[in-house]
Amino acid sequence: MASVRLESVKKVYDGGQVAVHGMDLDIHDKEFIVLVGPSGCGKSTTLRMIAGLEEVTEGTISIDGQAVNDAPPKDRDIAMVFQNYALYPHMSVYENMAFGLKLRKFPAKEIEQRVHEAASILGIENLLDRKPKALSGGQRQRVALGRAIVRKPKVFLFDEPLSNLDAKLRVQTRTEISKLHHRLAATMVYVTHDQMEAMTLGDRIVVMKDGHVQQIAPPLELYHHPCNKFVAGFIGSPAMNFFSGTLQRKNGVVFHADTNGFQLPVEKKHHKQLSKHIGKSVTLGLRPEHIAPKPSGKAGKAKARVHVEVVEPMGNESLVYFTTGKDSIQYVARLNGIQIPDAGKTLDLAFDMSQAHFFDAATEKVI
Amino acid sequence: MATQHRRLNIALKLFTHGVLIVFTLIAVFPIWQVVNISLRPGNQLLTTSLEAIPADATTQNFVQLFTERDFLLWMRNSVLVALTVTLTGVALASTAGYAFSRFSFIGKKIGLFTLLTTQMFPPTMLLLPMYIMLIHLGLINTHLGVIIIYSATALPFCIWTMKGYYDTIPTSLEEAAMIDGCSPFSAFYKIVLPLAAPALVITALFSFMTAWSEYVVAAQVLQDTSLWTLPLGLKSFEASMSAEWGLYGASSIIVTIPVVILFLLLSRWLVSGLTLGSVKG
Repeated sequence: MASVRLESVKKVYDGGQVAVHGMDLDIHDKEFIVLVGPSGCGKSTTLRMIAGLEEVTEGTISIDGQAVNDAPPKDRDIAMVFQNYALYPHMSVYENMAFGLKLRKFPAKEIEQRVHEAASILGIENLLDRKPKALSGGQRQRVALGRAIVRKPKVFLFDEPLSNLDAKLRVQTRTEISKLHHRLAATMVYVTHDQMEAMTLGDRIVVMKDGHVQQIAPPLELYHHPCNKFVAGFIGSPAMNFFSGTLQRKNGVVFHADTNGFQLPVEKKHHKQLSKHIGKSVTLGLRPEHIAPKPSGKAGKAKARVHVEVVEPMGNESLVYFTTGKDSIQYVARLNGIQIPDAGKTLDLAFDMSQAHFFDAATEKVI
Repeated sequence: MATQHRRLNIALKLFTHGVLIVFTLIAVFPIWQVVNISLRPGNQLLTTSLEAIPADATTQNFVQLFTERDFLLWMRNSVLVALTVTLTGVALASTAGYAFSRFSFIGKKIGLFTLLTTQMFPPTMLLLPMYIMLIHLGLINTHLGVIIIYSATALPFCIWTMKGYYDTIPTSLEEAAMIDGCSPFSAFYKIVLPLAAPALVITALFSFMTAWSEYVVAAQVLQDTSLWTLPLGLKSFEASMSAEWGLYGASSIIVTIPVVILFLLLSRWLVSGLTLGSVKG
């Protein structure tokens, strides 16, 4: 297995469009790293540059300390799993898995042994004689994984491998990939636009936007300590609520919301970091689980009366979409599954300001 | 009411079958006529009899064709020319189509458009310039001369067919192959080319047919009788004073046989090739 290093890697397409702006990334040996971001953020381009399928415009990519910018894909000792599986339709499952080994002139006996070993790990031994068209989506994806495993490459690359699967199969295959990572102890780079996949699979996550890396951190650090508004909004489902307003000094510090003028007292632990922003515009971020119905009879300070727009009962929890004032900005609270408020009515909500995030309104960076 | 409806149904079916039978007869009649003529003895060639098999049917025309005429030589020439054109067509169209489908280069759009434009000229219009070119190249009265013209006229259609088919094959297959250990060229011939079999069959058949049954170009370029291809040989039976219709019929049937066999052998790919692009995936 191996480490992968990207130093100031830049990709500019023929039309002058910059897909990746000077990216620096150190992927450690045996690490599972996930590149995540919305469409067009440059995550797939980055993966394809590591694979050698896209040329690097500037910068250096090294695998195991060796610069590979000019090496063709076959000489990089990598394996890639594609979104559309990319199985060879005219070959059987066995031939698909053995293809790479045959090209590398492995002895027939070893090819057979490796294919059967990979097939047994993935539970596809009974499918070896079938052609890809006779397989279901989940089976095809497993064959694609098998084709990657048999080669025992230095680095595994995954390009949105679960996007074509239905929700149930996606969860199942996700756990299989996670198990595979532990079993093979391999370096893996995984691209997805699904933050849930990123959170559950990655040792570290690279959040990208418009070709720029926003933050590189382990999943929970990203969740609890996002570096800017974009990361805060991208990681977590439903997304974090953002309230625009100003900070004012009034019996301590309060956040004065723009929308309907409701005021939320800021916790003491945040006072120091916010001191330079008193009187300035900021964005308050609160995750849906940190908003709850105000307990009756208890005079909480951080509260607001809101208008319930839509309620989505999930059984274990209810998502309550609400507005706070005259504007139509919709926020969401995650309540327990027992207390289901009525849509169209008002509701008193308490905000857990100890979990609040504050972002500079202009730079959108965390304060 | 129900009876009336049933009667209408029957009448409609009879009418449909009637029309189909008439058109089948129209299609089959010339073939039957050729077979009939080829089997007639010399004294009945101009008969107007509608017998299915002529009285005193004989195979003397077929025997004469192989024993007294250069039919085998013409056939050898035709096979040589047609197979060379087919191989050239398949080799060039499969690679050129791939380049047009996969790579972006200066002149790609103009190149494709030009190829399409050449299809709009009637072949006879191209005859004179091509003839002049062959004179300059010293290729008049050579098989290479007709091979070049046939290949040049068949290629644009073949390139477009191949390009269209490659466009339906996901590029990720070649990328997977290149990661598996292929060079760009081996990814093409090990992965893409086998998948493009239907388009290759269309290309091969089209190139073969272009060369096999062509008369006008061959008549201008090939002057030496020993170089003649089958269409020229057949035409020679139609002398100025008397046409040898029996030999003409017999040779027409034999000329058709390789084409029929080829179509039957390749029909499996042909059908999927003709419908290619109609359904994605």
